[in-house]
Amino acid sequence: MSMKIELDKVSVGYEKATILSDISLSFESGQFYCLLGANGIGKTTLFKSILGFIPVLSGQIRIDGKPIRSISSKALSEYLAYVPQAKDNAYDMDVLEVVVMGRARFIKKFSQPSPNDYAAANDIMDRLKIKKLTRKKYSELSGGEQQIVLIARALVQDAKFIIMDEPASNLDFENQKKVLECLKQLSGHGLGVVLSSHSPDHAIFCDTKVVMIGKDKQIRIGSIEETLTDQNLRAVYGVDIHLISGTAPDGRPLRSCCLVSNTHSDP
Amino acid sequence: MYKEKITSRKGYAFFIAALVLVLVVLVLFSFYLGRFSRIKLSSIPKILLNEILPVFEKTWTKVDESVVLNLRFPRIIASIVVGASLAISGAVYQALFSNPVASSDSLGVSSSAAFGAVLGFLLNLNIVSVKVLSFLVGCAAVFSIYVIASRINNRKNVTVFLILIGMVISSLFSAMLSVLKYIADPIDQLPKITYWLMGSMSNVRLSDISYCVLLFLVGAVPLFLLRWRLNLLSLSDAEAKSIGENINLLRFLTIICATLLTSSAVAMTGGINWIGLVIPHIARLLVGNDSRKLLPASSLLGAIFLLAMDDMARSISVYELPISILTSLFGAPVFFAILIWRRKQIVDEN
Repeated sequence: MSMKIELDKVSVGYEKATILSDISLSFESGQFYCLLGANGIGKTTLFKSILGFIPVLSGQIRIDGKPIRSISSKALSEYLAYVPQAKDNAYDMDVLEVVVMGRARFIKKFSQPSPNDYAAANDIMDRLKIKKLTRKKYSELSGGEQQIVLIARALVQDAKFIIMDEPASNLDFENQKKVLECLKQLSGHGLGVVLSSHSPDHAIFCDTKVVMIGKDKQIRIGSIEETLTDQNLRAVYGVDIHLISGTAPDGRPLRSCCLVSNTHSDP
Repeated sequence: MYKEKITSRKGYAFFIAALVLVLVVLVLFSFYLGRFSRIKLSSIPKILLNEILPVFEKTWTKVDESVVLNLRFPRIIASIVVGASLAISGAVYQALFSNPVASSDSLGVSSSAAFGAVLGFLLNLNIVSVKVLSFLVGCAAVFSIYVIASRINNRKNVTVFLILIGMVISSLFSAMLSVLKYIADPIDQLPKITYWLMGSMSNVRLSDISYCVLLFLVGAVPLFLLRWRLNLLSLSDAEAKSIGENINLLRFLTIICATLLTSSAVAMTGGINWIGLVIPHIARLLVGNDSRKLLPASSLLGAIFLLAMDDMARSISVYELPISILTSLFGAPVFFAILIWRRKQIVDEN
């Protein structure tokens, strides 16, 4: 059954600074969304509000019809899983142990993870094709691999939605590809995926629905064709960007957003 | 290679079994060691067992029995319990603060408990009341630190404030301790205070042992049950919340248990340095950072180390040496060696 995260005339921000105001939109489970916007526009703040880390300033966020303020954080973890940007921990651990942490909500306070929890972690790692990393140390992994491990940790939580803050940013092309390919496999299991990015190419690669936050704080929602127009891209990023199409050497279609240079150099 | 072996499941079990064996041998040796060493090694277990169930024929003297039961038994049990307590609370504070230089004393338990004890001496209380006062002041100090830190900061990560306020309260108690020493009677009270502050297992009486063990169990058992959850302390508040973990409750439980352990250890024996910092690090290097392995390894290593140091303290010279001198003398070089070794590891990795 489909489930919704609904934002009803929501304003988000901190005590003295409203970052985004009067936002109404909804995310459905089973769908893949990419939240696009310039750096500092409020993507992270919006996510923090949805995840209940900070209270909304006005309006209401509902999950499955229930206001999130009325849901305990333990119960909220059944609905929402969160993937932060990968960073090193103070104490290094085995990758499998990092993934099993996502099972916390299934493990009683004074108990230890059961073989079931390890089986769940192994299953997910198998699905994300990182089984070979199981016995490695987390710190030995590349940035992309670390990010995928954190995605695996969120998946073993078995929530309805998975929310990711810039999972593919700060990564080189190889690692970006690893993470994005991993993300593509997530859709189609009834899971709702919401990721934020400052790059429209990430939305194109994963073929997501697009939610754009413009410099004018207007929200635009739609498919890639509907949203990534020159006019919208300019409204979002404040510079001229053009969606170009081409074909890869093997004949597959390619699309990418290109920055339009103002200075033209003659050959 | 060696490290790889210990971190595997089989290697870890073998390592723990080896530590238990070392501890058992060391305990027997510690009963044997001392100025009345003519006690036959074989009669030591018999004397102990006879206390529970008198089945053995008495082939030993009354003096032997008294030495084993009243002098050596309390010190040995106390060394094991105090060593394990300090090592466990050091390990969990390091996890709590995600900070490798945290130790059992990070929230100022030692200086506040020491203040409590010295106040007791100054008021000419008996030794039992001194220990109780010391324990209570240690717990009260940490409790006030926790309350102040959560008052100042109720949204964000509370641990930074805990450590800052812990340092402030700790130096406050050190200053007040100096005041007490300054006004103490230099002939009668000051030597007692000074010796107590240097720590000694001879402060422990047979009658203390049951409280000592009880407090250890109250502090250590919940931590052992929470051993997997302690790993979650390394997550940020946001991550912990999103996996459905009540991280503030976990922190609170951890602090209560660790404070009980440190506070009772300090009250029982006076200040003992280094164990709460160095032993968890040795354990980390050997078995890794997973608290499920770290807690058993730390507690066994702590018990072995303190028992060995106490054996030296009472046998090196005619007069008993203060144990803190020995733990620091041995602890400091070990700590430097580990720092250099780790640095080398990091350099090798990059």
